[in-house]
Amino acid sequence: MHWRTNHFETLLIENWNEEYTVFQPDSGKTHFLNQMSMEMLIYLDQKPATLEEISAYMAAQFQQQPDHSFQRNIEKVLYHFDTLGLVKKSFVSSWHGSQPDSI
Amino acid sequence: MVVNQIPFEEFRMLIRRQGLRVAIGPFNVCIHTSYKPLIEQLYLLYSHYRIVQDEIAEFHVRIVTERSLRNPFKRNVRFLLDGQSPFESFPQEQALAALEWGINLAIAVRVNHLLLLHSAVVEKNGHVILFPAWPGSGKTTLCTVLSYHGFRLFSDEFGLMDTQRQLFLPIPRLMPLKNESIAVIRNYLPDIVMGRPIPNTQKGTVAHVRPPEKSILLSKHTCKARWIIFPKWIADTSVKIEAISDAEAFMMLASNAFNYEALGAAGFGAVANLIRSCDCFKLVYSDFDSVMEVLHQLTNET
Repeated sequence: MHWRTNHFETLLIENWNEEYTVFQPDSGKTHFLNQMSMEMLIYLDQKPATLEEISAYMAAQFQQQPDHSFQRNIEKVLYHFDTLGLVKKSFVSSWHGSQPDSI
Repeated sequence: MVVNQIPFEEFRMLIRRQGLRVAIGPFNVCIHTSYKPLIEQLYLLYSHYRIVQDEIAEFHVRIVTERSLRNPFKRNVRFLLDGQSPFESFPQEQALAALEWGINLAIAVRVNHLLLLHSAVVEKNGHVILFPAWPGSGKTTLCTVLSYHGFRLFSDEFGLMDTQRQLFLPIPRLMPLKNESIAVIRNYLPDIVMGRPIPNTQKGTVAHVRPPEKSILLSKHTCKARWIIFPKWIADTSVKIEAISDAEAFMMLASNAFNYEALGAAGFGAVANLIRSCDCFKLVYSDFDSVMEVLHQLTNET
C-alpha cells in the first residue's frame, strides 16, 4: 500500500519559522503542522510511498533511528492525515503521474 | 444628536413608537420596547450614543413582555430580531441582559463582510491591541479597566476587522461584568456608570458598564492592530507577559473567531496578514495596576 497527498496543490500554506498553518479548501479547515509533518506531506507530494519508504526518508531527514517505534509514529501521523483528508491510500504498485486514483 | 440630549419622555415615546435608532460602531440598531424599566436603564446606559432616526438600521430588535406559561401571574420578556425569537423568554428583570445578548447574537450571525474575532479590543497611541479570549478569561473586566485608564474602547467582545484594509472598526457597547468582577470594578472605578446587577442569569449576576463617552464619539476612527495579547486572570499571580509563536497565535486566534470558517480562504489570509503585522503575547495577571504598567510600557515603546 502506498500513501499519497490529496489535493496538496490546493492547500494554502503559511510558514511561521518552521511551524505551518495550512488552509484546506476541501474541508474549510485550518491545520497546524510542525516541520516534520510538513516535510512528510512535501515528500508524498513528489511521489506515492510506502510506510517503510516514508519512515526511511523521514528518519534520514531528521536524524532519527528508523526503528519500529519511529515507524509506528509515522503510521499514526499518516492515519491522522488520512482522517483530515490531507493524504490518501493508494494501491498502485508504481507511480504513473497521469493515472487516475485507484482506491 | 445623542440620547442624553433629548428629554426622557421624548426618548420613551421614540423607543415605544418608531423605535430608537442608534449608531453603535459601524451599525445602526433600531430598538423597540414598551417595557418601562428597560427604557429607564437604556436612557442611562445608552446616553452617549448618536441617534440616527433618518438612517437605515442593519438590525431591528425588540423586547416584548409576555405572560409566563408556567406562572400566569409572572411576566417574562422576549427578544425579537426582525420579528423572530432566537431565545427562550427571560424573567423580566433580565430584559437588559436579553437585549444585549440578542444584539451580540445579531452581529455574530449576520455580519460576514468583516472578520469577527472573539476579542476585547482597545486602542493606544494609534494602534489596536487585541485581547482574544474564551469566556471566563476576564477580558471584559480588563477591557473595562483599560478603557477608563487611557485606552480607547473598541469592544469588549468583537474584533471587527475589515480584511481588505486590515483595519479594526470600533463597536463600543455596554460591557457586561459578571459575578465577582462587579464588586471589583465598583471598588476600582467608583465613578463609572454601571447598571443594576441582574442576578440569576445564565451567566450568573451581570451588571453593564456604560462605555466612556470619548470612545463612542470616536467610534468612526479605525486603526490597525499592533499587538495580540491572550489574557488570563489568575488569582494571586504576578503579572507576566511572554511572547508566543506566530503559528500558535494564528491557531488560537482563528479558533476564537465567530466567522473565520465561514470566510474560508479570505479568513485564512486575513488572519495571516494580521499575525504578520502584530507582536503576539500571552499575559497572566491578577491586579490591575501591574497589568496596566506592563501594557503602558509595551504601547509606549513603539
